[in-house]
Amino acid sequence: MIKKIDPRTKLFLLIVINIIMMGGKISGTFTFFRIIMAMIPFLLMVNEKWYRKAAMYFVLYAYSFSMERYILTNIQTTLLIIILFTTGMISRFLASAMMAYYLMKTTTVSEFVTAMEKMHIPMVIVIPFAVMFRFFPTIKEEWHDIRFAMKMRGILTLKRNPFDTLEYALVPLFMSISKIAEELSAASMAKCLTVKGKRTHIVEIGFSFFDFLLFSIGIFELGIFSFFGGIVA
Amino acid sequence: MIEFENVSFKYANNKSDKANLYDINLKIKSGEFVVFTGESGCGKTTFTRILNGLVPNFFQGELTGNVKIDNVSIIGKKVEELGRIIGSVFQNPRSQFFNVDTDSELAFAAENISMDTKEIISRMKDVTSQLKLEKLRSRNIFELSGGEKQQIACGSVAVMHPDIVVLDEPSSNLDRYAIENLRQVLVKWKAEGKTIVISEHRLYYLKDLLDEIFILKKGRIDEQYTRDELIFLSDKEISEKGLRTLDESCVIIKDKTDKEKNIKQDINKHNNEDSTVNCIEIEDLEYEYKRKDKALCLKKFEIVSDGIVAIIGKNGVGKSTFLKCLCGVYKAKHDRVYKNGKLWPRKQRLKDSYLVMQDVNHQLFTESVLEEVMISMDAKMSDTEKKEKAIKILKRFKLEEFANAHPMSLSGGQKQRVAIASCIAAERKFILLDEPTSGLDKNNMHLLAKELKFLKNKEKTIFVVTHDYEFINECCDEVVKI
Repeated sequence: MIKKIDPRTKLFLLIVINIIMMGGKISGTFTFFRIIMAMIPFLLMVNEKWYRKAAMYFVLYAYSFSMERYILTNIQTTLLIIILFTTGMISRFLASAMMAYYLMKTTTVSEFVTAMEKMHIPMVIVIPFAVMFRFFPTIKEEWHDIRFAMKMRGILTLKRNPFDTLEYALVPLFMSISKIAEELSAASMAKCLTVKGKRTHIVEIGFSFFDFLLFSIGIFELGIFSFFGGIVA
Repeated sequence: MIEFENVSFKYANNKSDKANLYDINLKIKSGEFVVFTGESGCGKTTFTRILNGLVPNFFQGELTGNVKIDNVSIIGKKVEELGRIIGSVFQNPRSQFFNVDTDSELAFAAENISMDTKEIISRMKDVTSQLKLEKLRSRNIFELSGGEKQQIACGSVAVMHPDIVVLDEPSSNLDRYAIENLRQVLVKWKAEGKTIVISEHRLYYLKDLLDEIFILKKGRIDEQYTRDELIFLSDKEISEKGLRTLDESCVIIKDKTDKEKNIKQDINKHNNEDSTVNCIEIEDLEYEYKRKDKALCLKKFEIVSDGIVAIIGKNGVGKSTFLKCLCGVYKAKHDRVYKNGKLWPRKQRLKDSYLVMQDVNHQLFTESVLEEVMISMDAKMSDTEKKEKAIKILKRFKLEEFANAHPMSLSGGQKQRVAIASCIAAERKFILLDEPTSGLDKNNMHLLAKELKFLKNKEKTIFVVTHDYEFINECCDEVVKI
């Protein structure tokens, strides 16, 4: 088991997966390279012991990819077109989505900030991204409570105008998120976030053997892509 | 030493000609423990904000007079400069963390001022053992309870070794057990000689710690007492000053055992379909959390009441989950609940009951208070009928002047009353409240108690999950422990 992967490696892999999956061909020798890329999030999730998610991802991806690549090669009916379309979407986006999810879940805010600073990215860009890490779970939490309250008051029914329902859901959501954002900024200021000068970091990030391995795979894939690849034929 | 000389402050969005805080002259010696209290909106939070610099840097407005810490004026200093010497703990545990994991949060402020990493790590170790945070290290903050979050907030302050700690209503989202943990932290800080300034409604946990208490009224200091003077005030005097009780050590349970039995017998005899809920029997209620290590499991549990029932219980036994299962929003794994001897299925419970959540912000959906009350009403009624009825309800709750105001512009106590008003409009018989008094001052707590008694007379059954013994003593007929 690999203990820790550097956030920079994760970010690099995310970019490579995006390029290969969305831009690469789906036929010929390139199939093999696509599969390697698709395997990366799978292996990383197994490494984190997220067996259920990993298995679901594997099955869904394998199904979509084989449907698109081998089974639905002769399209005749509308139904098949729809299936092809969905499987095509899944085989192009799922790997990137899972990689992004993995990145968010396994990177702490401070690791991310440290990594960004090591790449000399200015704080003005880093802080909004760091705050995003924090806001996804906040939105999830708030949304959970709001949906609950709507259910209780009987607002969450199909009988009402869906636009009204949407409004009822979004008003409290935005209200509470903007309130949290304000309070959070105040608290962060009181904790000296806006001090000018270099921050120190208690988390140590750095490249290990596996980072080099993953990086080489990524670079290799990019090389292949620029040589054979190009936009889907 | 902290000195305030003729300080007054007015928020930029305050349109009236009266300042939010004025005529403040006081001295706080080093190592003193000072409490500011008073009704909601009296200016006690503003006071703490002046100290940590959020006023006027973040919350803008007009600040006059002079504030000095150790003979150096802090007027014009930035929040981040003050952050080096003053630690701040805020009211809402959900919105004071920049990080998602606890370790990063403990180190966060120290990292920001470029403290040496070895120093930070050794301080974190010390703070962990001093404040007993072992169980909270390396955890996801979103999985912690409000009390645990507030402990991390204290921990992250302690790592900075500040001389002064400012706390703004730190207990308002906490239950009794969490408040006790907070008190332990304050005891340690006081022993270390830190100057502590705290704004707070609930005084019972501070009464043995404070050196001086200031009672604010409409923006100025109305009265001030030392600890000895405060203890000699009678309960009546405390109450007249609009303060929460100093003694919350016990619940006085009114003796109702005989009456209870009578009710039960009545029910068994008639088994009538009376719409009020007199007896709730929970034969089997089991709810599994997503994290499999916890579950709520109630078997053979009975609540008999003809009024207001308080539900108390230790932290983490699942009181809130119990309410959510009971009002039918959560689907329990096993769910067998009887009302007055008859099976009361989940879907029906969902129609019969109404839950006022701890954070009422999540259950107010519309653009005006009037509309808020109207959407809960029977869809068959005409708009004019609805409006008429809504206005009547609003009058009852003294909310008519806010009929056209946006619910989110109201104060916490008012929002809660809007939620209760909309529950009356929905004509539900069974009302559940989750920690309704946690952020309320004496006055609002009184009002709430009055409303609940009014509802009781309207033949509603009310369940309140609460840790607030003062509130229980004031209006609850029964106490049930789970």
